[in-house]
Amino acid sequence: MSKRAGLATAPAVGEPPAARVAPIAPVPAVPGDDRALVALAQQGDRGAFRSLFERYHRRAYALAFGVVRNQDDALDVVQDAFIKAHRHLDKFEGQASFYTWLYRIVMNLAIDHLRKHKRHKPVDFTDQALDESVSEDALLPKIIGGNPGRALLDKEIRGRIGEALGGLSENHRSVLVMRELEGLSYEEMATAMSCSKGTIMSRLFHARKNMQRQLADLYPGGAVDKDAGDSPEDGDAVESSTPDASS
Amino acid sequence: MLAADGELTSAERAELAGDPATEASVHELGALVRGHLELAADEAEPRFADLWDLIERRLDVDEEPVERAAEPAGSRWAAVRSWFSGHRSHLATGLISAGAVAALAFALRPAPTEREVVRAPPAILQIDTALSASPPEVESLDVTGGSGTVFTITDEDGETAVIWVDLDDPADVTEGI
Repeated sequence: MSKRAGLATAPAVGEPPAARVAPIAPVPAVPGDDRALVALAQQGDRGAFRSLFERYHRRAYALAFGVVRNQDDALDVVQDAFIKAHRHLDKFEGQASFYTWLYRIVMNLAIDHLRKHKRHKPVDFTDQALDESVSEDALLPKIIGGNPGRALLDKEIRGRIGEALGGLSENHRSVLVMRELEGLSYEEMATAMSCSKGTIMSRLFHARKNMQRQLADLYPGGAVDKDAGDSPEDGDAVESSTPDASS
Repeated sequence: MLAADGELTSAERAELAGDPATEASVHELGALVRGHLELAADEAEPRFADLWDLIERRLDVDEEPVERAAEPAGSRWAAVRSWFSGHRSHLATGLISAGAVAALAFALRPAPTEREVVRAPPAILQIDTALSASPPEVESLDVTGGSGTVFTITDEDGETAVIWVDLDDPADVTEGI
């Protein structure tokens, strides 16, 4: 289920190379390596904990940055997350992977950081009640350019994506980042955010819709109605209006 | 969306007619978000080395109380000595302050001569009287400007008669009785 990050798509002949984007972190060859490192770190082996840091700090940073959207803040969140993980290492029982445990700490700290510092800009769109009959057709069946790596070479497009992420609410942005960066299932995200699967689905749907709306002019034809109201922030009320699974 | 996210079972996928275009748009959006965040991580790369240093320093601080608690207790005298050495400055300040207060109190004490005058007892007149063999007895004595008491004290040297005069006005010295 996990979608590994990485945009190393092969360019077509005559086309410029795609953006050289390093994958966030390679998956450990042997998952048991993490358990061994955690066991050593629990006994006070600082080198083992550093190895865990080296493996996951970049991924943790990307996750934090996706939520807080500020380099300094993201570094603070990652620092606090590893400190907290070290302090509570004795409570880690190994039922989930170390990174699963770590990313939950990162997400919680990132959201707490946002709420404490209120750097998040309010969304300009007005809220409106979710139409219970909303269907998947509301998501644009269009793509920007077909080669995301190439698109990201364009600084303007990259900037627009950053702005579009910033235009989402913290809950919408969190689920989108968790889904796209970590490849978590709906169930896993629901557990991480302590809400229902239906809420996760609703938030994810609206996050993507809002992203498309904000990037409307980048799509061929720019056919999205920018004046349409925004989605509600909280998906709790819309569990019964699960988006159609037709796509 | 569920199809794009791989949340459908194989049966559901077979049953539903998917929308490849929408699925592709969802995938593209996801790739753009991922790529954006990965490039952000690239940009922060130079700061990751410092990040571990900061974390390690905080971990060292976290572990300090544990190391202190693990030290051996040592003798009580050593503990007292270490307490004194740790509070040397406070003790010195206290001693200096106490010395200053004592010096001030000494300097401001009242002049002794005044007290001697104040404490001067009234005039006592001793007269040799004919001693009687009877035990000492106290007699009153009428004195101009005051009152007097006569009593006899018996000691190893014999008996001594003492006349105690209380003057109404201490400045009024009697010429004699």
